[in-house]
Amino acid sequence: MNRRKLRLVIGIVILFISLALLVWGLWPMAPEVRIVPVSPTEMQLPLPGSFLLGWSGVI
Amino acid sequence: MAVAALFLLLVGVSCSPQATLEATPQQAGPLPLLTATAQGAAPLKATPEPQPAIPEQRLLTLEWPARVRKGDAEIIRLSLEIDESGQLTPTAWVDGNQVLVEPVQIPNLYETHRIVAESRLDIAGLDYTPMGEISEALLPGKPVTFLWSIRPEAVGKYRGTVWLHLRFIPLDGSAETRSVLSAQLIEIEAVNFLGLGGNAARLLGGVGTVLGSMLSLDSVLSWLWKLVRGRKPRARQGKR
Repeated sequence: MNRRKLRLVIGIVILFISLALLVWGLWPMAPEVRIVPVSPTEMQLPLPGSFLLGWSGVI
Repeated sequence: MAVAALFLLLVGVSCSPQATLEATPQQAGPLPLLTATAQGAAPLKATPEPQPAIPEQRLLTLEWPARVRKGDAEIIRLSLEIDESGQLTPTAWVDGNQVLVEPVQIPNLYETHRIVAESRLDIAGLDYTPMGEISEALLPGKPVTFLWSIRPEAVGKYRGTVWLHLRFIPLDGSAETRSVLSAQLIEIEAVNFLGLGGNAARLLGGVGTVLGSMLSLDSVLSWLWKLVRGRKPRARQGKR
């Protein structure tokens, strides 16, 4: 009887741990989503001389 | 001896900077400060005409897994879609009333340029593919999507950047330009359970479930069977 009870307890413990591993291994991971609006002004041609405005250099 | 000394003295004097300055007197004194607006030249000013632009409202959508099981592969997705609800006409809300601004005629960039969207994922310590830049043509009204597959081999937090550039290639063959449209920071955490990664946890979980069922359910099933069998004779006795 004791052997049977021991086998039952061990079996239940193994079953619970295994089920926990299985659930963790199969649970879908929810992705993060980020949505950023992009306006036409952000998709303009870069100005060729914009970085030269106000430039002063010493030679 | 005296002649040699005099010769050496003359050579030393001729090589000195003082002598050089004297030879070119116009370079004496401090050098002038040069500015972009030289004397007499017209100052630079921004062009009043609107810059050519892509006449579309778009949405940049970035999807990435915040947590990944160690050893599992996941997908990072970046897309530049058309915003159906976006308004190209600039609007403003003032005191609850919508104010419509007169639309400005902006030259259409699609008519003068070929536009290529280029994206790159930079994240240290994580295996991902494809590496380097991915290019896709940006067409009017069409979305572009970039996908990366990642697989963390170790537990930890990984931080990276998803870059999106636009390359404007003029149709007339002149020099192309490139600009950064977006740089999105992401953070991914690789996790494990009881020291096991995704594959190991699933394998061990499956095997352990079968083994645990065989060890425990055997006793549980026989107990249930006895319970059912024990009730049936009692029920028969009760009917008599």
